[in-house]
Amino acid sequence: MLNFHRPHLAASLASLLFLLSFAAQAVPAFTEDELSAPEGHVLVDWSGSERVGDFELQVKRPGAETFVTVYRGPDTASFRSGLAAGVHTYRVRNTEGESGWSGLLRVEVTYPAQNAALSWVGLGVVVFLATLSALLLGMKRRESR
Amino acid sequence: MNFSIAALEILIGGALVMTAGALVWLLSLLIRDYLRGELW
Amino acid sequence: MTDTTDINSAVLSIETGLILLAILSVAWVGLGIFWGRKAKDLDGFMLAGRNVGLALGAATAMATWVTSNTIMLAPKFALQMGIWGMLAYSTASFGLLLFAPMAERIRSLMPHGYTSGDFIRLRYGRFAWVLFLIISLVYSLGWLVSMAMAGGIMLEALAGIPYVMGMSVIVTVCVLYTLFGGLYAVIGTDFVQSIIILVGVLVVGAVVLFQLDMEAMHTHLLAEQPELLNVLMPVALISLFNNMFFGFGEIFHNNVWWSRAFAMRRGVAGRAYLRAALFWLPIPVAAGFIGLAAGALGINVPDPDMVGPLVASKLVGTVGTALVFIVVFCSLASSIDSLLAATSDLLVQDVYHKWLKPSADEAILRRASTAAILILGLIAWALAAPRLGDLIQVLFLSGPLVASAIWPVLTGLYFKRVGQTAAAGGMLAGSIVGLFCYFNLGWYTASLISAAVSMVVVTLVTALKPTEYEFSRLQEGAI
Repeated sequence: MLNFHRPHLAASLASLLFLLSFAAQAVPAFTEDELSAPEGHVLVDWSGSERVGDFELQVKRPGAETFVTVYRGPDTASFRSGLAAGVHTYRVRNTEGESGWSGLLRVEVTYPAQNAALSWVGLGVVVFLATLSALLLGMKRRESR
Repeated sequence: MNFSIAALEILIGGALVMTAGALVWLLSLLIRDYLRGELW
Repeated sequence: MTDTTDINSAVLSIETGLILLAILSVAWVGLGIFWGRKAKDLDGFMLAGRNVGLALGAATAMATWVTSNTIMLAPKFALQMGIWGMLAYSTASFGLLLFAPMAERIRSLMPHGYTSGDFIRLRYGRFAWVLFLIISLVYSLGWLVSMAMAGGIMLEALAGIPYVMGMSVIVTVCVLYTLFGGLYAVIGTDFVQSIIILVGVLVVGAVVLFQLDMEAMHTHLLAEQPELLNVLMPVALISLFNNMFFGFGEIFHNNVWWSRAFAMRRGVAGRAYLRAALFWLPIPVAAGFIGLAAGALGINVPDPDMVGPLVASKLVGTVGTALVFIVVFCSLASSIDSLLAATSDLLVQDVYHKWLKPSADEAILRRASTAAILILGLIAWALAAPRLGDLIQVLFLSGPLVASAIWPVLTGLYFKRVGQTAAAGGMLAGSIVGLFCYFNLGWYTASLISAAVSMVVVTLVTALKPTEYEFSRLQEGAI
């Protein structure tokens, strides 16, 4: 009996210790806790290479009350783009081993003002038309000779 | 204001059709130049 | 940058990658040597006998302008900036379009010309020439090194081929066939490469489109990535013209494009560039839309640089990745070979022949060409080997530099009243103000501002201090 129990006990202890150490590592953490995205895109990445299951990444979008899942899988990064202006809050967890949610990642998306953007476009149009006109004028003068 | 589904379809479909057209055009130019002995 | 993220997607096995690499390498070197036998003299080696026809002319311009960036960056632009990102990239073809009449003019103004440097020297004198050479060499080297690095990074990401090995193979292959065959080899291989690029883009695009529900993609984008569909997406709109002027600057000034104008038969250059522009126009959208589709297809993107191959491998399988591998290799080779040939011409003709040793005869120049190609290849290899991500920045930094040359080159070709003060002033002021904006306002303003400032300076100085230039002075004798 005793001889039978001993290795079993040892194995359970070992696996318990293993699980404990694993659970500590299994809660993923974002590399940063705050990011700004002036162009509407951001690379969200987290540590957690000792994964047991898939990762689940959730976001709370600007104005939203709840988190929604945007990625579920083995990667440890996700490139988010085309984001609406405002604050996006991310959290990530490991779907197995009952790991809790990571700390929050706050991403602030701010675009240049629409007017500023349009004045750059205006400048672009002017320089483009001027360049085109110079070329056309040059071609015309040359042909008339 | 957003791009519509139709705009997406025309843009992407159009680009692929144009690419196919470029391929055919380029090959026909090659044959023409070759037949005329004008490759280089 | 690729080694920090965890991509668990299907890529090619290293064996497949190495086999593809070997086949492509042997093919290009073999074809290059085969066509290169036509090069009997210096004009043959540097300018393919100045008799290139329409098909080869159009293909070489298109293939050179399709860089690994077009294939890899267009999907990334679509992913980052949506519809406008792709359209902004497509405007790079306007550079080829506007260069078409200029190429014709260049060919007839300078029947014996070799380089864009020749033009600036004869047209605007020594100071503007030196300024121009600095701009051009910084840009060319930045482009060359970033291509070599992109090659190493791509081959590693797509097939697990170690960075230095992949990069070394690409650079060596291009140096070898450019060395043996000169511009004949470059133009010949460019044709084959452009056919492969078009077929590859078409096949991957068609397969992805076939599996894509356009309505579902639209719904997904509206819900999760709304800005990608925004008709007024701010950053994309700003970058639209910036990209365009960067492209104008690259094409108008660089000897890659001038040497092709010199190389084409009389009457061919303009038509060839016009066709190249049309062939190129749809490629950023055809290759780029798969970046837009990633989210809707449920594909996670751990690294935006890899979105193209990622979607291709998920939807087209191993064949898709292999196709991307081949297309990327072709687009890299078609640009690296052209840069090696055209930049070595610039070094030999402008720096060595016109500056250091005016007495050099044809045999010496031919040897100098060989040396220049080898040296350039070696420099590119040595700079790319340590894989410093910052070096790719050099290419983007050169945007305001080359954009400052748009107006001096364009007006110099057509208007006799534009003189050296206007040209040098335009390049200097445009470069300085553009660089300042690059660091202080954002990368997406630098080339536009530079072009605008240069335009104002060229116009103002010409109005205040017009000159009388005799265009026949451009007809400098051969060698």
